[in-house]
Amino acid sequence: MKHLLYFILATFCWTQASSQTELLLVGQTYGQMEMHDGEQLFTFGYTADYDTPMYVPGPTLHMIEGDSVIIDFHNSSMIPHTVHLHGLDVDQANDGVPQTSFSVPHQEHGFYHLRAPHPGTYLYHCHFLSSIHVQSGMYGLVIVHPASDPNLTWEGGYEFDNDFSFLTFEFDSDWHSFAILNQTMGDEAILPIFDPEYFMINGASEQQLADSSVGVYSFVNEVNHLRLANIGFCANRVSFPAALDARIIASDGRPFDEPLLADSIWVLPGERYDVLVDSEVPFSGEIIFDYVSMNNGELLNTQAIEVEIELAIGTNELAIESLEVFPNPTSDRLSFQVPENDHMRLHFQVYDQAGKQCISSVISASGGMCNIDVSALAQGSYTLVLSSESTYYHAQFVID
Amino acid sequence: MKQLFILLGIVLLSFVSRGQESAQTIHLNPGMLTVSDGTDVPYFAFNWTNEFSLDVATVAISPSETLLLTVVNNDDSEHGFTLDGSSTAPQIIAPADSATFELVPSGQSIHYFFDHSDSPTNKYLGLGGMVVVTGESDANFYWNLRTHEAAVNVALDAGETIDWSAYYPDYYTINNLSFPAISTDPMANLTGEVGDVLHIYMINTGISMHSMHFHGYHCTILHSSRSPQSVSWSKDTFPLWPGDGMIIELVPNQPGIYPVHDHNLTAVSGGGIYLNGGALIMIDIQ
Repeated sequence: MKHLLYFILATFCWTQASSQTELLLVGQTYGQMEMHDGEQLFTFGYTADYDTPMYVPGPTLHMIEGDSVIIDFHNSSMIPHTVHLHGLDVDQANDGVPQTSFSVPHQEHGFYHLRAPHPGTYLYHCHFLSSIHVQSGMYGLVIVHPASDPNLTWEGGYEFDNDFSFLTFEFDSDWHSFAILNQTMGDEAILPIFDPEYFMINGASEQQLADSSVGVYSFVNEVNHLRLANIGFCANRVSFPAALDARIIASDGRPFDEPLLADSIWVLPGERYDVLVDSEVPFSGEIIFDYVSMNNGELLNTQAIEVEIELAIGTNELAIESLEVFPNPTSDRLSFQVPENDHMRLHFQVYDQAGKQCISSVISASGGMCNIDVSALAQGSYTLVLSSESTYYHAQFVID
Repeated sequence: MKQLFILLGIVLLSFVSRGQESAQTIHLNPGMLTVSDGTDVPYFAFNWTNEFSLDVATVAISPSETLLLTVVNNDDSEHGFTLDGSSTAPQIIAPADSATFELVPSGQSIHYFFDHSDSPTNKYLGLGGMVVVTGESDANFYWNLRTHEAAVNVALDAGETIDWSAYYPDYYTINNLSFPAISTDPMANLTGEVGDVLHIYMINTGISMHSMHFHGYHCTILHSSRSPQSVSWSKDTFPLWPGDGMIIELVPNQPGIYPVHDHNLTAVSGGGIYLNGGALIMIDIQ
């Protein structure tokens, strides 16, 4: 599972913790990225070494709370660049703004010093001709982990099982021409009208999202920590399925006193939000990202990422049993006897053959007999999944 | 005699509950806005006198005061006026006429006032501002954020219909000034010393969204007209929807000169040129 890789990465980072962290960033200007429609766009970017091909976004920088961090930024491109540590509240000398800090010329190194502040989600990006260089792709995430436990949001905060980051941005191909990106005149640059065609999450859009496994993948009852960050020029409205019980717990690297319970959150350019989601039952659905124009409020695009929460077969003591349903085939109602006679509440879901969730609800079982309304389903074969505190039940049925 | 005492008591009680009255007058004036490349575009403003100025009136009262705000229409067309949080209903004000609005504040807050008629045209053309109910601080700063598309102003002046869904601003202002001119506005230019309690009153009186990012510091939200649940959050980036007001508190923990800017990075530009104006202002902490 993908979240296992995240765990290994986080654990590695944590076990390597020391009082000083040294990170390398290499600034590059000869990148090319393939968009979902096959278009190749010219990009700038950061890499963590000299061999890895450039990708947008750049590598995520992991730090441990309280550590002294030195970022060795080697500018291997022909154009000056900087590293602005967005939200990390560094001193002026290390802020990465050319006019008040310093920029790093061609083939030189710039060293940024900071002490990793509060655990949380941050950004880094180039602040040289920032409108152009951010659009070009020069950015990435910074994650500051608490010193005690990589699976804790912060000291005294929330434990989580899986950590997922979603960094949103857009590309306008007119901005990715050689002439526009390579403007080096002083402090000024010409900005084309921004009219993006590509709306990205972690560098992917449309079918690339599923192909790249950009999503939330976990087992039931696992707590998933979602880090939402927007480095684009549009506002994002992120909508969560109600079944995920989303709790917004922090923003911009600072915890909230109380979690905010909401099925959606707006994430505007430069903002970050930390969200916890989980499900007690198997769930298949999507988290929706709307891209809205900051200029006029118009909805420009919508992207979706997969959410797959599966049974933790073999990792817990829940029994799995088949269930008899009747009538089968049916057209409107489905009845079944649950072999647990007490009055109880049951979560149930109905999935179609493609695995898409069609119904998700809760019913009360009285004397073990249940009836559910399936009249809204189209003709076809379906799977019913029920869960009680001790057992998962499943059944196949047909709508004729 | 007994009835007289009762009446006197009611009047006294009413006076105490209303607090001290603050009677202030603002003028709705037509004029022109010169944007950062020297282009003049038709504009309006709420000013303290009957003479048009880009120095827009920001009305300030204390939480214990009741505001009686009189608005004088100096244009030759009628205009609307709405004051959020006022007990006085929105009104249409004829040319050369005036109307008075009452506001009894419930604490430190921002109240958006604007011309609601012919929406969003009149709001877009400059007719928006804020009443601030101040709290305790070492210094207060006021940012009235707006966007402008010069061609839209010209088209509106010619009586043309605007497709607002295609609106694309080319100028961004704070208190009607762009960077670096905004640095000369003492109401806006953020200065102080380490440890000072600085309150920033931000309002978005334009029709675009903003996302104001602070370098160097996190600030605490004291008031948000759109998202009351965000009060007490500590953030470095603050979303402002059209018509939203937000009060944030900055207590600097380090000296330095830092920018604050809209992180929609097309907004740090003017006339399509990067850093030629834009929604950008500096912090200077000693």
